[in-house]
Amino acid sequence: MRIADLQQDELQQTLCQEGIWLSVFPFLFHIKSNELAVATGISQLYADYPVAFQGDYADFHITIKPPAGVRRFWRPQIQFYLDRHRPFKPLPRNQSYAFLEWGMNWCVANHMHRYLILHTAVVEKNGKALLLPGASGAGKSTLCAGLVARGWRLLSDELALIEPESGRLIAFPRPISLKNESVGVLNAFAPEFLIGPIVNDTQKGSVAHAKPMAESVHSACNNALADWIVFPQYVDGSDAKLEPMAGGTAFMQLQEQAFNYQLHGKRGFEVLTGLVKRSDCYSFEYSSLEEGVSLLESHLLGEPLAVASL
Amino acid sequence: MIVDEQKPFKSLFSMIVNDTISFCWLDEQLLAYNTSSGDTHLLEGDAAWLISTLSERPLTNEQVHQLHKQRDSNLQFPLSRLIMNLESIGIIRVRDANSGFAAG
Repeated sequence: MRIADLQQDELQQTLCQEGIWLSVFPFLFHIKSNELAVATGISQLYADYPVAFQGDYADFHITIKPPAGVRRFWRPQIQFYLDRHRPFKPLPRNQSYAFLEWGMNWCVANHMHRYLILHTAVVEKNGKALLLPGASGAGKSTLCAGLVARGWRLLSDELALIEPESGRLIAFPRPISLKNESVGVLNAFAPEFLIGPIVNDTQKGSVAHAKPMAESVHSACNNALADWIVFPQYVDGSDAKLEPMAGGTAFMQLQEQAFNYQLHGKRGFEVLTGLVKRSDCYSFEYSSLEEGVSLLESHLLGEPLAVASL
Repeated sequence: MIVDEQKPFKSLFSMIVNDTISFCWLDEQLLAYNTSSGDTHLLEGDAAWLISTLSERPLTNEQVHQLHKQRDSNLQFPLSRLIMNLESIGIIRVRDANSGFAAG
């Protein structure tokens, strides 16, 4: 059964009671919430994901609900629970769906240490994976969404999961996180993308999430090996510019984006150097998504530049 | 830097002697991973060459000559003392004591 097979009220009712067991490869999330926005967000953005109403096991048991106390009456808030723990301070209630997404990222980044985890978007085409590492605001999610719109398979827009034994990238496709102007940029670039509600005044500004393509969800069990590492940086007014980067420099920048490099010790060093060795590394500046995507595809895949970017 | 700028050889010696560093060349850059501290360092140019060379012990005569040559060019380290110290504690073996550095 998939989320799309459920009526919205059925989903909402189940979320309020037993919760749902949502399979987001390679993890299983047990989610409970009485928030309408959470039910709506899951219904829209996880439509293609497998779901169950019962389960013996889940990697994470998540509850999104208002905190106790009288404060909820004059300033409604929402709280994220992992098991019985509250790892974060409450947020305004209108951010409940975004809170779920951020919390799911946090769960994986802070607990799934059998993988080496990088703060990196990953897409794949023709069996070759492209890593787009970058700090928040660098433009990696926008670029990732642009490439997905051009037929690249989404492995992840936030977390690259690397299996240390094989060095392979494990897909973890989730809704693509968009911030501020990038929502309008993606809308203009690829109107076919389903984008959830925009939530304003969060710590990250205005945020929204774009539904991943069904093909990315259905083929999530197919992992990939890295072929390229591109460090994107959005620079207002800049022409798209792709420049080779030395491996050592790329390694050091990649290491800064790792959540658990230190935990893996020498094996982490070997896995990350292996990743860089097999990849062509670049720095990449862009301002126009159209031009940026065209230049990347042209250079990496040898495809001709789109007319608009010539 | 992997070495203390003020006491470059003390830290270098201890790490190489204790075999606590893993190296990996990526392009023309050398990454050094300190298994004790978990720190990773990026080394370029002379520092990369020096550490890489020292890690391949014992040094050949040719390598010793190269070190000697470097001393007079752009390396700031007092290499003659370094080589003598390395030899005295058995880390390297200078096969021809008259070839340059032993007379330092």
